[in-house]
Amino acid sequence: MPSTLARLGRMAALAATAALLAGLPAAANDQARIALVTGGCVGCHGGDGSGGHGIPKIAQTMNRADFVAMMKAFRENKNNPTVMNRIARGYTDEEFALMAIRWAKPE
Amino acid sequence: MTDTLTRRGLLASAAALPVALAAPRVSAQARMRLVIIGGGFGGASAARFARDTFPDVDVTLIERSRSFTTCPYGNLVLGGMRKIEEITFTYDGLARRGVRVVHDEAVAVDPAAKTVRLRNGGPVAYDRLVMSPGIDLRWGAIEGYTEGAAERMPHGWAPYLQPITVLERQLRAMPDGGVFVMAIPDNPFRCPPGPYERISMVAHYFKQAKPRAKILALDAKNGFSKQPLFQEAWEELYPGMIEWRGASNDGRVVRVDPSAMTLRTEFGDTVKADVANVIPPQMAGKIARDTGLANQTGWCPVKPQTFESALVPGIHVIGDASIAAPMPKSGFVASTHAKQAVAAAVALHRGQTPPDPVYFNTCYSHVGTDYGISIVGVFRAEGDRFIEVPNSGGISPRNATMSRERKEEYRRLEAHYADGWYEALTRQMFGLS
Repeated sequence: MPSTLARLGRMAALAATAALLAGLPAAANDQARIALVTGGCVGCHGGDGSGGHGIPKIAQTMNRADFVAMMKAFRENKNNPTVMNRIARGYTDEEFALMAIRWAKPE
Repeated sequence: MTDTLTRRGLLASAAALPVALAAPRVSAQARMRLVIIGGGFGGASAARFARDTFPDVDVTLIERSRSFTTCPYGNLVLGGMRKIEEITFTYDGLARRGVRVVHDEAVAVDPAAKTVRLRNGGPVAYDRLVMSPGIDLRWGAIEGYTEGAAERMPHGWAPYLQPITVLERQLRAMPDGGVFVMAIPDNPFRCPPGPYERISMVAHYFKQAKPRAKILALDAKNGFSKQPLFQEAWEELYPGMIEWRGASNDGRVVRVDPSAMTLRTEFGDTVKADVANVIPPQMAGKIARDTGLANQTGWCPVKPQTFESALVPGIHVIGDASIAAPMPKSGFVASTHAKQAVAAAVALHRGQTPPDPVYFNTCYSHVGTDYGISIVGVFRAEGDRFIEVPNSGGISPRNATMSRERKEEYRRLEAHYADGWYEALTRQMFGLS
């Protein structure tokens, strides 16, 4: 977990540098990337992550470490999934960390 | 991945540097004008994503119709599970959120002048254009299947050409004991599991209202999306009602006669139908072909990182019209094309490196009451092609892999999740939540 967050920190720093050089506020590029990586999530869980029709709420329900651990567990077919195991196997650990920034409780 | 991101970051910095030093371009210049043609799953999703993610970009959506009836869930209208009003949306939500919605028809695009000509209004200038033109039907590709023939033998495959209710009315009027015949095209076509969900939903209706009716599906190919799941479900839910005939079993329909209500197959079998649903071969929408975005296949080649046309710079072609295999031509996947295309268009306009894409598809099909199945896929760009991430995605597990209880729970959950998926996706794209 610390290594993922460390990588994420380095990545955010790089993105911020790139954004600064491009004359943009640092947040804009990060925000776009997070929005893209979570583009699949919102298709079922909704833009606010509130779920519905039995699809679980994912927004503000857990901390970042637990969110990433949950996604990794889905990869291993844990937690009795229907689609989440098939989905989680397509994403990287970094992308799980980006998803956590959008969906987990703020830290 | 970290290394890739690092390189990306440095590349982005290097690429952006001269621009940043040359002029404070982003702050001083006029706002970027992003114009989107087509208000379906691709175009509406592009408009919503652009409006939410890039507040400093002007977003214009050009769409001829004032309302949009989705293809997804159209089959549920046939099954009696939904009313057409429940799958029809307006663009008011997007307009309220600050998208400039222009209800007019884009009749021509001038890629050199970067303008879109409208049927009624004045030309619309763009810095980058996202085109989500959907499909047109290839009239005459099946001999005798013309626009006129489609009134007797509905396609029900492009709601802006023909509402699903035309086919619905014919099915309701069909006598019990009648035969419903479908002609299904070869790949590629819009919504690969769609014809088989349609078979299922019509069977669901027949089982209740016309139990002696039969369904004959004549298919121009030898296999189809989610095939084992559909066929197991048909055996289970609708035994003896459905016959599916693939290409090697003379399933390809080559000619139709709407006055006699007959369909003729490749090797000369003539089939009489009480109701016929002919889904013809397809191609990219007219505006894309007129703009020179389509190649000899009738579909539009694109760059996998950005969805920018491989043929005409400055125009991003998304959704069903694009050549993006192994991604399916689905509404959900169009919404992820849309987001990447918008982010790439903005980055390219600003002289930045577009972000690395990850494309995603989830597609649920209803097979019966409390019986849903799904296919999912995660896709990325690799050089000049799209790839599916190995060992990811795939279809729901087959019956035999689960206990009876788990199987029933799984199918029931997926039917409910399908409803949540439809609601979340449509509410997003039309700006309703």
